[in-house]
Amino acid sequence: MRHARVRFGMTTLLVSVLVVGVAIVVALRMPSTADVLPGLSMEAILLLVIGFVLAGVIGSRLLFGR
Amino acid sequence: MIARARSGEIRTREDLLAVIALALVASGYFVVRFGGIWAEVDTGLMSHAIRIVVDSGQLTPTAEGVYSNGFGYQAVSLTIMAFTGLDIPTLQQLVYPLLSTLIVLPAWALYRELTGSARAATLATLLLLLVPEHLFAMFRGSHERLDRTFLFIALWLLVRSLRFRGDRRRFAIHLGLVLLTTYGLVATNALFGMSFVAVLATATALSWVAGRGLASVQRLASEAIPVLGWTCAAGALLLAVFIVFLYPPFNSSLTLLLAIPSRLLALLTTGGGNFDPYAYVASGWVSPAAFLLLSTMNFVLLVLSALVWLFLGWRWLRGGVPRSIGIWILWLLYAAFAVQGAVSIVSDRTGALQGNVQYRIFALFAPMATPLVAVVISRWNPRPWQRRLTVVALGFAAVAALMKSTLEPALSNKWLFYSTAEIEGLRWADAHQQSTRTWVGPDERLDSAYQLEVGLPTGTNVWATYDPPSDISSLLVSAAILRQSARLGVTVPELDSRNVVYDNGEAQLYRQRPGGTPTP
Repeated sequence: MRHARVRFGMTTLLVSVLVVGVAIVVALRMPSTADVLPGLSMEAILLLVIGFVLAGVIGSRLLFGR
Repeated sequence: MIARARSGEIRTREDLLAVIALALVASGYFVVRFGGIWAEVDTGLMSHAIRIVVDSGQLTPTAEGVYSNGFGYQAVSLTIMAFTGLDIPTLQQLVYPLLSTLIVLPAWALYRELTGSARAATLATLLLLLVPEHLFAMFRGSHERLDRTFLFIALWLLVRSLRFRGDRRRFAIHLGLVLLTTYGLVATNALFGMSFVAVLATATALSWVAGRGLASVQRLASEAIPVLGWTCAAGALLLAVFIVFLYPPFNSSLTLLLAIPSRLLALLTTGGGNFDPYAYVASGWVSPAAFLLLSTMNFVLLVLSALVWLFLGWRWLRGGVPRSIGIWILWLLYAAFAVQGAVSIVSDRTGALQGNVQYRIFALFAPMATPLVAVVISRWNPRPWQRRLTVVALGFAAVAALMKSTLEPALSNKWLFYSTAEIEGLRWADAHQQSTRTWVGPDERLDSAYQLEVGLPTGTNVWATYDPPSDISSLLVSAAILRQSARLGVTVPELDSRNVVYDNGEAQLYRQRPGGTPTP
């Protein structure tokens, strides 16, 4: 039961990460802004995704991992 | 029993490491977002202040650009540079943001002392890392990272000292260290030192009033008052010595501070201020919705913490007893910072101290709000859908905090980035012009970047910013300057009638043609 819940939670998290990652790439690497404004580098996108996952995982552990 | 305690300890360590990792990710993002080439007003100002201390070999040089509120940040920077050989831009743009991740350690220690729980402390630290204003204050190149470090350590030692009241030696050592760190705070920024002393004074007064009125908090109030009160008095003495005897440049800030009451009086008698501290929301972001979206965590934290504070107060009013002296002091500190927030809202209407005091106070208030919220939500037992929603919300809050703290240029009209070509253009302009006012953009972006990399323009040259007069004799133009001017609604003077006297491919310097009517 606990494993199933953890698996479900992780799947939700991973799907969300993918959705957010793609949304960020599409929204912020558009040519109209990237020509003058610095677009997001792959390193920056990676750090955003890691930040998203880390905050979620730490929060999950602290709030619900009792 | 022992095995359980050990596993709890390991788990605490893992959680703390994970929070440090998150802070490292945030600082890494701050550095990487613009390839390590970024600046903003205080970063430029402090960089120049460090430079003149290095050049003069004095903590209180008489050169233009001396930092009037304290010397601590310059002294620490100078020491790091002397030991490592780093230059100012590398230290400010790359090294300091990464080093600032360590601030989570004193924050966590303080939260554990206040809440009495390692889990609540880690949760509070996590929430703090989701506050964009806190991240900005930690990572930008200003004294605020040092102020926060001193503030967290001083409060941690202060609360911890209460555990050793029966042990005179340890108690005295703790209080001695509190005063040492308080002096560190005062010497770094006397205004923040004043804020700290005022917080201690407010907390003491509130504790005294509550102790006299409520039997339920009488014992804890009587324990807290002597420590808070004497530390406040000693801190005020250190502040006075610093201002009067040690750091004469603070006189200029003191003059500004002393002018606030008369400005407030004028504000009250005239019925309205000329300065609107909230105007930046309209001009600083592509839309108010973008600002509100990225600031969601601030509002959630503000509302939740206020509710928790009121709930605790109400419970104690009805005879409940605070769980520990740590919680009691947390409640007092929260109220004391909130009072400063309320005062700063009024003071900002006068435009004093750049009219951004409430913004700075919020970044100090947030560290007291997160443990209050953490104490409550650490006991929350939500349903599965609430759990999933919370986890995803935390992830989004982290992304929003990273974007707001770097003033994401797709959403913000104030930008941190600049290019080396723009700085080269400014260098050329300064080297080949005399007594000239050169327009360098619609805000202080390049002025600050130049201060960070080079310093102030030489001789009587001046960098002009904001709305340029149409007949200004010299202008620096780049694609970013034109784009930002369009965003901020600033009209760039007509360029066709001017000569291009410098062009490096990305930045051009335009000069008024002879026969025109240049503004010197």
